[in-house]
Amino acid sequence: MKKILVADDNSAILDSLKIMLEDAGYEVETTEDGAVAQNIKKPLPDLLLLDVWMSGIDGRDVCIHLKNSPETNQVPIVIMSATKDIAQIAKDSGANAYISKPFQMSDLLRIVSLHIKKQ
Amino acid sequence: MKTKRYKKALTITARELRHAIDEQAHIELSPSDSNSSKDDQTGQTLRQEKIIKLKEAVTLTQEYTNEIISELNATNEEVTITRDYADAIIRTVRGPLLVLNQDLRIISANEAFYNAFKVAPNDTENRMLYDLGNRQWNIPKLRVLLEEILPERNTIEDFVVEHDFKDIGQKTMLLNARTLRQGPDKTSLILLAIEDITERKQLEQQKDEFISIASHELKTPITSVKAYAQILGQRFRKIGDVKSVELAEKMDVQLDKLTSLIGDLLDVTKIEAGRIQFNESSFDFNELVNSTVEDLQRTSKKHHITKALESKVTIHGDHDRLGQVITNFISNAIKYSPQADKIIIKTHVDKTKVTLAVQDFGLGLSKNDQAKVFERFYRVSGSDQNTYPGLGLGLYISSEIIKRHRGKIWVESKKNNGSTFCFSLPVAGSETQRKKKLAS
Repeated sequence: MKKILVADDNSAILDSLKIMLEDAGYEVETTEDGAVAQNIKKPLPDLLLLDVWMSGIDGRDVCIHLKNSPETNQVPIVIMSATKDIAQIAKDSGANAYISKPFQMSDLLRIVSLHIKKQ
Repeated sequence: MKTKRYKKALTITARELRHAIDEQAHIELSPSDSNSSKDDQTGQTLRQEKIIKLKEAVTLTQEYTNEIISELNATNEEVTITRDYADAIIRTVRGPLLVLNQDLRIISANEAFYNAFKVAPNDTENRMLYDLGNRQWNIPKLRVLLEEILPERNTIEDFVVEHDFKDIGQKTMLLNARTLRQGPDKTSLILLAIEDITERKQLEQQKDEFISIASHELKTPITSVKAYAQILGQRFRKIGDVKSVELAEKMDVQLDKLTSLIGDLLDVTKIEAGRIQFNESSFDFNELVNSTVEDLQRTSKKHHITKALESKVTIHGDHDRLGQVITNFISNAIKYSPQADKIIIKTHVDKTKVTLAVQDFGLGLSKNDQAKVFERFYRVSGSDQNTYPGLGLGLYISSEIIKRHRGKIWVESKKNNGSTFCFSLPVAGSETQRKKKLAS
């Protein structure tokens, strides 16, 4: 089963995303702490769903850090935010894709299935 | 004009005077024939006539001189009145104001200038502008403005200059300047109004930040509520509970409306502040129209959206923002045609542009409303329209987005006969597109 790590400092969003992704057949881990996402170790998740504005840590920095590290740069990262500038943020931080909050479930599942590590 | 006439008259009189004096001298110097008493008498009469002429000329000269003096006095008075008037304006204006000569030396400044920039009149008047406050005013952008732009245009309007002054800190100044030519030699005077907008700018920034944070904070709970609604819909669908699926979908649609209202408020703030950003890319315009129609068709069971799209065309611009405009057009078409069940969306492509038209069969717009419908906060009034909710922002935002893409936006409509909202955009690679990238 493919494993997804979801990092967001809002517990309701984490809860709803966990249910949504588990219903779609993924194994889901969640964290409200951006630092946990920044320090992921093996076994790495098959995809990271990462919020931009998190308490105490900027999702952009987490993304740049993970994409610059040889151990983690293969992990697909989908960045999410309520800001309209999300496309630019995704481009600047090297994320594989982005999704605007609030989102359609069908869009989220399509993006996840498109980018999740295939093997 | 009058002075010129007097000058001419004086010149003539002076010539006559010189002539008379010369003649007098000539008579006196000529050897006289003492034996001829008749000649003596004639000479006497001639001299008397000359003296009378001379006196007349002197009187005339005096009269002219007096006239010139009184005219000069009047002119002086006028100049004094004009100067007092100008001084009164400069002193009365609440914002800092400088009067410079063409060499950018300060002729005068008002109290507001001294107060705002903490300088004394003695250290200001007759100084070069750039030398003020130990050359703190030697600001590169100001130099460009006064030395390059102003001489060319004679007017500068609302030019923002930011500068960190040693004594008063970082200032944002709004500059307005005008060159005046005055006097017979047409020497230039420069009026330079300097508005300190530092505080206003900070407040605007705070307001923008607040709205940006507020919008983010409002969207956060919507995100989870919307996700829960969709999870419920999905679970009801799995167990075949169609009624409950519908309820969950209705919740979802209402949440989309709420999100769109929040988005509009944020967009307006950004447009006002000139901070709306566009993420440019090249994309297939038909693909954008198709996906937007698909999304909106999902939310409207009553209206069927018919498409008539011409050949594939590539557009260079902000995919999501242009999608927002199409969404706005179609949402309005649905909203303002409650009795109809059809909406037609068409595209037309030519060499330079693509035009999109969204036609509804609803209430339509009067001529007056058509002219104003793209204005901010404008809402069509009247008993029919009063019942339709909205902030009056959607079309304003759409028109700003289209304008920034160097496109055109318009509406064709007849009251009670439906409306067709249109926009056209330059196609990628066309002359217009090549020449002008997105306006900043």
